[in-house]
Amino acid sequence: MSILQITAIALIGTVCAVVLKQQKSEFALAVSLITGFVLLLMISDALFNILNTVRDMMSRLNINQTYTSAVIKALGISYLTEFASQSAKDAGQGAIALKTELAGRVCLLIIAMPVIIAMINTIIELI
Amino acid sequence: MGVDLIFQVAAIGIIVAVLSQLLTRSGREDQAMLTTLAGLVVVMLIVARQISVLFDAMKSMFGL
Repeated sequence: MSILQITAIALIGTVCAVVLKQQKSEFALAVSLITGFVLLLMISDALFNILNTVRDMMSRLNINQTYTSAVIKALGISYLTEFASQSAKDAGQGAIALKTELAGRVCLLIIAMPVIIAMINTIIELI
Repeated sequence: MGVDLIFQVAAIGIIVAVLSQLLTRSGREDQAMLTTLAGLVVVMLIVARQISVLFDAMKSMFGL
């Protein structure tokens, strides 16, 4: 998907959302959500290839499998939480956006826990 | 896929907005509310279907 299509779709979505904002603001939210989904779907196949190359590189550097999957999972979690909290903020729901971000941070921490434990163990061995 | 989805949702929104204006002007506020709700349900169905497609892609990609 070339960047031209992506920017064109984004602009069209913005125009539709603004047109709908005056009469019915709930449809403007729906239009902005749909535009977000379409853009994410368009880049998902490119992202898939990138992630596969990252996995191959990490396995070739014989980095532990749990660390690679932790890194990629953290990327996915932050990706989705960012999407949800931004659209909530766009619709004027600041409180929901903050709660989503807080939940996203907690999920990230859970994912990163084994990595932190492994790091601390190595530090303890050094001392 | 893509732009026509956005145009679908925008078209439904505009039609429902015009209809509800028409109905409120002619004195039938309750029917205007019902048409708005109906349009919202249709739009939410479309959005929900797209959400499932996107989340499946994300799940398979990031191994969430």
